[in-house]
Amino acid sequence: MKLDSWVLDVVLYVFFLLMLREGRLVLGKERTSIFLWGSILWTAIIENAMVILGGYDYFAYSGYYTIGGRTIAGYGGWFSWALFVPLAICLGWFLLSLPALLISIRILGDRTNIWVKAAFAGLMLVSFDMLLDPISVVNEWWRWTSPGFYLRGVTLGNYIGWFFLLFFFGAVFERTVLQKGGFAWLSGIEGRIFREDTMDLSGMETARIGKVFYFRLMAFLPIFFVCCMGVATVTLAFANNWGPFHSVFPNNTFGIVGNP
Amino acid sequence: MNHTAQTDPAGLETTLRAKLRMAYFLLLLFVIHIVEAYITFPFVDHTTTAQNVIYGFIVAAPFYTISIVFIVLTRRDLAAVRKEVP
Repeated sequence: MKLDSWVLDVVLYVFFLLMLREGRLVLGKERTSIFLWGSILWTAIIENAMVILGGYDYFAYSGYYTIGGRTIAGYGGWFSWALFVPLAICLGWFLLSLPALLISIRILGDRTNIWVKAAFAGLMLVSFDMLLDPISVVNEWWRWTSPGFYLRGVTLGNYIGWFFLLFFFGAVFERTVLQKGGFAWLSGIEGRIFREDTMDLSGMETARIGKVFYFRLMAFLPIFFVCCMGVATVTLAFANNWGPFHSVFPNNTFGIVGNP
Repeated sequence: MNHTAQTDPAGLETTLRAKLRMAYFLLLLFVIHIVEAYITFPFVDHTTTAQNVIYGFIVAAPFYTISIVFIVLTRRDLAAVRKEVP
């Protein structure tokens, strides 16, 4: 039975609202908002970059969106999209990553290194995605269009990306918003931008801490891409599929390499 | 307990209950996806949807195991807080 993409949308929006409500009770409104806006910023940039590069496409959403067999042209309009990525995908990442990070912090405790906790949360998310992505692929909610080592129709690069998404985001969020600390390698440039010592944010307003957090996410963005591309390139040596689909988006960088 | 914790017992209980609900929602989300895996097409390289379900339980084992461990720990925290509240 084909599951239309609105099934995923409904599930993600409902659970997003539930997790947002609980997140506000656990972290407070301001810190949950920072996590939410950070999630949207972080995932929208990364997902859009991957779609534009032709790594995958949101086939079921790209003018192929159907409800009960009827194609709904221009579903939802732009309000439900973050450029080339359905907003539900960004919110879906929020609803999974917030509890995963809180669970990791609780289980591993305060004394554990933030990177270890972020890695633990990242692995937990990868484990869930190994079930979610094959469902998406057979229903064509999104399709993989890039070469790589494929497992159940999903490239290994996807799971590497999922891991690094929460690995960097989780560590930066915990260090900045929860511990109110800083990263030594960023302190110089942050001092010039924010005009104060950002190694200790304990005296700073939460809204301003949010700005520091967003800045740090952007600073870690190139590192994320280097790590993902580096590891994903290594897996290309074991590629067993040169991209099962042609991207429905016009710019298809990976098509140069694959999709013969 | 950690950076997300409150200090007063009433607030802490509210926080712990919210954390508990979060973990239950995660498990519910997992169950929904297992049902989806069963009613939809067989995955790539699978011939039946029963294989999808078995595959789902295997690959998502870390996810639901960690969630269950968290639920146990949080219920224990909650019991300890309830003892503190007169």
